[in-house]
Amino acid sequence: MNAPRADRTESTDALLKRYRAILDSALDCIITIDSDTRIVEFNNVAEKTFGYRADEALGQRLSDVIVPPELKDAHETGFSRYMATGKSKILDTRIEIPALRKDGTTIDCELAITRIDLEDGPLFTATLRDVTEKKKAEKREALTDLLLNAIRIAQAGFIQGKKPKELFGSLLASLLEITKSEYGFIGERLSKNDGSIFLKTHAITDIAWNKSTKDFYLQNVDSGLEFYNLDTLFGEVLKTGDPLVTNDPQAHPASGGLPPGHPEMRSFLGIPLYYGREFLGMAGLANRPGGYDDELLEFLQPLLNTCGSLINAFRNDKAREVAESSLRESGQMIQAMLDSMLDALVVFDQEGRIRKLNNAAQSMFRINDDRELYVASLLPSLRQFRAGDSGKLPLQSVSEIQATRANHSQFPAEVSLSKIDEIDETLYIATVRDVTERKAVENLKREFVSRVSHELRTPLTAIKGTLDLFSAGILGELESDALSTVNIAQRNAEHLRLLLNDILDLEKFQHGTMPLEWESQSLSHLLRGAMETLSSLADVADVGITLMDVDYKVVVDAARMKQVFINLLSNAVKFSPPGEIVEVNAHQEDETLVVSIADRGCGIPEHALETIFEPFHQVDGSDSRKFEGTGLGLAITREIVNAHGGSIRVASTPGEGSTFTLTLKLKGDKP
Amino acid sequence: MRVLVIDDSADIRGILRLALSYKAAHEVLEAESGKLGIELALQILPDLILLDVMMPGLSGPETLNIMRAHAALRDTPVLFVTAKVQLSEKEELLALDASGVIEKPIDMLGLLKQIEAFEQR
Repeated sequence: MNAPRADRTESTDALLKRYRAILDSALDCIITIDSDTRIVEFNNVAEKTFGYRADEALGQRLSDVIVPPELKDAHETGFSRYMATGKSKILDTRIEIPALRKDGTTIDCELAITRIDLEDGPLFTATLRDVTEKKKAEKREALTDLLLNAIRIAQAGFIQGKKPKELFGSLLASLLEITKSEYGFIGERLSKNDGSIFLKTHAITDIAWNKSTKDFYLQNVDSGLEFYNLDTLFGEVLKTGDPLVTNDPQAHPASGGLPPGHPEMRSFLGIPLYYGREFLGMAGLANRPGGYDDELLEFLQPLLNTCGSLINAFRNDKAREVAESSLRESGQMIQAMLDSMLDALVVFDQEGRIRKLNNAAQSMFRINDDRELYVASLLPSLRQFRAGDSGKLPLQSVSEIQATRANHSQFPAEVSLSKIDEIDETLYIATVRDVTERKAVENLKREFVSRVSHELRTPLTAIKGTLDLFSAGILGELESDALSTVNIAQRNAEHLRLLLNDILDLEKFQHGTMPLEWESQSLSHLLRGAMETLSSLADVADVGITLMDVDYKVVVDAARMKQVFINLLSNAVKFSPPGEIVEVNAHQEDETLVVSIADRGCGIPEHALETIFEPFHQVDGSDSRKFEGTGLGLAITREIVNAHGGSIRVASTPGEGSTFTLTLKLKGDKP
Repeated sequence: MRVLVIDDSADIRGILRLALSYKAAHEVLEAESGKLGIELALQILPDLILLDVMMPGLSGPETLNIMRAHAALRDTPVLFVTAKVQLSEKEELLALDASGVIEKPIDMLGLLKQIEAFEQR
């Protein structure tokens, strides 16, 4: 009897030993309790997982060892009910449940309980697996999903053109959800004109705690709330550009305290937002259960980068908008300016196709539709553009041409052309001025001047004729007093005649209606002719005229050029002291002949050098009486030289003399 | 010499009369318009006509045209008297079959010499 019993005992021991080995080699915690919930089995893994040695655990109630306090009642009630009724929610299923470790920390466990009925009563074997890491990973995965989803929504929203408020609002909601924070904001780091930094929110949780903060929130939430006090936790982030993590905000050195009524702040996370290396803004979060840490900060980084990118994108967008609107505005301004211009502007391309007409152009050319037009149809002298040949255009110079209206009527116009080199093409602008009225006025003036001078000639004929007859003794010899009186009157009548001629000449030159007769002439011949005319004047004044190197040929209107030399030489003689010499010299500069007439007279003061060629200008009012002249000589001289394509200028040193220098085209064809 | 002066200005006519008649003893007849001048010229057949260019009614050139249409006046020397002094204007007048152009204001002594020249022809 013993033997079999001994055998059985032996075999039971062996069985138990093997059973023990199996338990200890199991990967999960195996804890067996009896019907009184006392622990009868506590394997190796359970020891490692919960921090108890088996001998500490054995015999203890399960609820005193690994059941977290908050589940103790439920555990005990549930077990008693099961024992009484046989009904259990957890038997033979797999559930997840938190469990308590010896050190007080909680782990997540997967739990399965099996009932084993033995003779002495039932035993319950619990298999527990620590799934804390797995749970953590799952949780993290879920958060990562949330995070990625938030990024995706924000990016899609931006592409769809959603407003910043909406996008940052959803980003903030995601941040709060992911971090389980109570409130927070996303804002942009901006600077005022004085360079000081401030925060402007793009999204902020409504944490208003009274009417005034509520009003402030509601009034500003759309445009963004602005915060200027940087002696705060968020201010520290804005100043340093570094993240700020604190789970004891009030004690943080950067804390500026909270205004009375502000919701409690138990923890704070301030995160700078960058785009590349550019510090653009920040996010702030508060009151995460368990506080914030660097791990969370790292986890949030992709979402924070998205915030940075969005701020940057909106900034660029805004910059583009500003640029576009200022472009639009300046475009509108230019358009307004163009349209307010009195001159017509015709913008056309290299093919001569008209691209733009301002208001003045449309009314000047009577264009009231949008059909395609070529510049040649308005300005026939620009016909070359039709052929695309723009090489020989006289840019910038003003020319007078006939322009054609849409109804084919013509009008005189002044046109100047300029070129705009665009990036991809060249455009031309013709500025057109309708000179019909000016022409009419000019004609009227010319007619008037011509009429007046004609009308004056008739009475002058009567006066001068009478005087001539007296002076010549045709009406009988006069007493010497009477004769000298008649001579005075005669001289003045002659002066009047010269004046009338000069006025008429000047008027014709100024309007380009003076006919010129071109011929090749030798300069010295012209000068000698002038000297001959002036010989008596020079003799009386005792002034000599010396011709130096003057052997050149010029193509000129000989009579008019002689008039020029007479004017210049007579001035030089008149203003020279007796015994002096007037020197005439010439030299060639490229295609130009430079002729100078130098006297050693009283000179011309500097202030008068500019105006000396103006009509009726003499240096001193008394000059006209002292040095008889019409006051138009130099004005006409300049007009004649200009009409020859030349120019005239004067240099003078008062007290030493003056030099008049004129240029003429040497081989000149007609100018 | 019988000279007909056609000018709307009585003063010009008067001074020319003086100049031509006082010492040179030409016979001077006056007309104050082109129309009257033509009528008078046809009556007296002058040796020389001094014809103002700018006159109300018929202008000098128009008057000359009509005169030249009359056989009696076809070859009568005509001197235009004008305030138009440009060369081109002078040429235009000469092209109208005039013998010469005298500029206003008239150089009386020059005019007398010119008339002397006609007399000698």
